[in-house]
Amino acid sequence: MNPLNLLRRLAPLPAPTRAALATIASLAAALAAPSAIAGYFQWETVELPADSGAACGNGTPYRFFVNRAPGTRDLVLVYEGGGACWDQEACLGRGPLSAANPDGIPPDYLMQLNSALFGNVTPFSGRNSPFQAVQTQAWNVVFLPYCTGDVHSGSAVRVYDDSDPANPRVQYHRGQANVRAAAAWLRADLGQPRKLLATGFSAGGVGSTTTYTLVREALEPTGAATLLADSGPLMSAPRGSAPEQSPSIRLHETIRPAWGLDEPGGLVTQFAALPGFDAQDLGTIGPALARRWPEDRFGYLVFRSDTNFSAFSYEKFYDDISGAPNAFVRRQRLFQRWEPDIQSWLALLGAQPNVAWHVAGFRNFNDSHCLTVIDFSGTGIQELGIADIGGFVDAQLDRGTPTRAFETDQSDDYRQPLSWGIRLVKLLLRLFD
Amino acid sequence: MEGPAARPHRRRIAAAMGVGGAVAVALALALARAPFELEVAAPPAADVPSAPVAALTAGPASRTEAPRPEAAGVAGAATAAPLPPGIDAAGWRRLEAEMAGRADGAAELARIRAFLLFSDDVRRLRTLNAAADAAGGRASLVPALHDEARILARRIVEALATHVQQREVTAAEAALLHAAAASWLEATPAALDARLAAWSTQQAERASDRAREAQPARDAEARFLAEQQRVVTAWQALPAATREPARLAAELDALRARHFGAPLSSPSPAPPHAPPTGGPR
Repeated sequence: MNPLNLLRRLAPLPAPTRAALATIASLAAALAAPSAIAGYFQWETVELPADSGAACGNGTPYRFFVNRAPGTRDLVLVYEGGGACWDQEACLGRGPLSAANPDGIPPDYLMQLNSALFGNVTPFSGRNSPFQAVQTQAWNVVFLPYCTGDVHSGSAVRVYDDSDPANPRVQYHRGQANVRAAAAWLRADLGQPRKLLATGFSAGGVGSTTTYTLVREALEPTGAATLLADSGPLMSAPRGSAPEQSPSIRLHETIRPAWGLDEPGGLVTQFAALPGFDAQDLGTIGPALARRWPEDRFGYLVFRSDTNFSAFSYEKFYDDISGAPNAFVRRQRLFQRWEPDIQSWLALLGAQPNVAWHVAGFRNFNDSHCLTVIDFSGTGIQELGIADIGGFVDAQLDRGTPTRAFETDQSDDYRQPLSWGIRLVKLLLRLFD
Repeated sequence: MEGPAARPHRRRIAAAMGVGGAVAVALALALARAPFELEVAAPPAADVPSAPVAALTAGPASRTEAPRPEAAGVAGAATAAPLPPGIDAAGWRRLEAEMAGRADGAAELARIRAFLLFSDDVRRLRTLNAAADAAGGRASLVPALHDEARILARRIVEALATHVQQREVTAAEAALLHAAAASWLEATPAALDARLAAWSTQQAERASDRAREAQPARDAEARFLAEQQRVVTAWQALPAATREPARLAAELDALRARHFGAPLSSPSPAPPHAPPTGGPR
C-alpha cells in the first residue's frame, strides 16, 4: 500500500493543510485559464498569488520561471541555492553566511546580471550552455529561485530583531508553500510530465530533496523520476546526540523551530508516516524518500573539501571555527566535522539500492561548493577513472547502474586543469564584482 | 569508500579510455558537424570529445539545416525553407500545424527556426571548446578549427542581443555565451579582458535602464513593505505574553492579499533595448 495513502487515512489533515489544498485547487483553476504565455524557448515569469501562501522572505510575491520546448513532456525543475538564515543580519543578506535575495525576486530576475549572475547558470537551467551539454536542455525547464532563507523547506513567519530591535525583519520562511504552489501551477499549465528531474545546488540541493515527494505527487510523472541533489546534504543528526557524534545537531536544533519544520504542515509532519523516516533525525529524509519511491533514482553530489556548506553547517555553532586563528586552521576544523558527517550520511543512504552518490575531493572554484555549477570540469575522481560527473548524471536519468564513487586521494584534484568555462567565469566574476 | 555498484561503471570507463584517438577525433568532428536530431528539438546530450585534436580537420562553419522532405508551411512562412537543426521533420510539421491557427504563426516559426540555428552554433562551439580542453589547450587545434570557431563565435555574438531581447537567453547565460565566443575572437588575454570589461560596463548601464522601467513595481512593493513594517512594529509593542505569532502571520497574509491578490502569468518584461554585444576588437 502506498504509505502516503495510509497517512491520509490514519491522520486527518490539519486545518492549515486543508486550507492549503483548497487554495491550491483554486489556484490551479485560476491559473488554468488562458494567459499571456511566452512562446517556445522563451522564459515566462509566473507570479504566485498571495492566497497560495507563496511568498519571498520579505513578503513580496514569489516568482518563478518557465521555459517550454515543443513536443516534449519531459520536465526539469532547477532549485536555486543561496545560503540560509535564522537571524536578522543573515535574513537581510548581510555577511558571508547569509541568505540570497532578501529583497525578493523581481519579474525580470533572469534578465539581471547582479542578483542572478552565475548562481543560476548550471547546465540544467538553460538550453545553451557554451561549456556543458546535458540531455535536459531539450526538456521543459523550470527555474525555482530562492528567496526564503530556509533551503526551500520552511513553513513559518518569523520576526527577527536580534541585531536591530527598532527595525525588525519579518521573514517568511515559506519555501514549502512556494514549491507546492509552483507544482500546482505546473500541473495545471503544463500537464502531467513524462520524465521528471528535480535538481538543485546548495540550498537548492536540500530543497529539491525535502520537496521531492510534494512535487512528485503533484506532477505524477508518467516516466522516470529522478532527484539530483548537488551539495545540499541533509546530514544525520539524531536529537539528543552529542555534537562530537553528530556535528550538524546544533544546526538542526536551530532551524527546526526557526523554519517551523515541526509545526502542523511543516516538513517533519509531512514525512512523519514515511517508512524509514525518523522524526528525531532529519538525515533520514533521504533514505525515506528512496523507500517511498523505489522506482525513482536519487543521486547525491558533494565535495569533501566544500568550505561553503560546511561553514553554514558549523561556523555559527562552534566557537573554535568562528574564532580560528587563520584560514588553514578554520578549514581543518570545518573538515573535522564535515568528514564524519559525510560518512554518517552515506551510511544511512547506502542501505537503499536506488541511491547513488559521487563524492569528489576538491575543485578550485567556488570553495569546492557545487559540482553542477557552470560545467562539470574538475569533478572527476581520477583514482576510479571517472573524468567528471557527466556519466553519473546520464546513468541517473537513463536508469543505468546506480554508482557510488568516493574519492580518497585528493592530491590529484589540485593538479587537474579547469575548463575554459570555469576560467572565463572567474574572469567575469572579477569584472562584475 | 566505494560501493560494489561503482565497479561496473569503472570497468566501462576503463574500456572507453581504450578507444583509439582516431575514433574520438571522428566522433568530435561528427558531433561538430552533424545536425543534431533529438525527439523534438533543442540542444543535445553529451558532446564532449577526447582526442589528439591536431588531427582534426575542419570545414566551413556552414549552417546545418537539413533539406526538407516536403513542404508544409504556415501561410506566409517560407515553406521551402530547409528543416532547422535540432528537430525532425515530423516535429517541425507538428509545430507548423500548431502555429497555423495563430495570427503570428509565421513569425513564431521564424523565431523558433532562428533560435534552433543559434543553439546549433552554440553546440558546435561547445564541441570545439571541449576538444580544446581535451587537447590541453587551443594551441593544439589545427588552424581550420580555429577558423570555424571564429565564424561560429562571430555569429553567436551578433545574434545574442536578439535572443536576449526575446527572452530566450538569460542575462547570466548571455554573459557566458559572450565570454565563450569572445575568447575565440580576441588574440590576447589583455584584449579579452578589455572586451569583457567593456561588455560588463554596458550591462551595468542597461541594468540602470531596467531599474527605471521597473520602478512602478518597486514602488508598489515599497508601499506594502512600509505597511508591513507598521503591522510588525505594532505587534512588537504588545506585551510579550500577548504576542501570538499565528495571529501576526494571519494579519500579514491579509495584508499581502490586499496588495498582491491577483495572480500574474506573463512573459518577463522585455529589456528596454537590445544589449550591447560588441566591445573593443
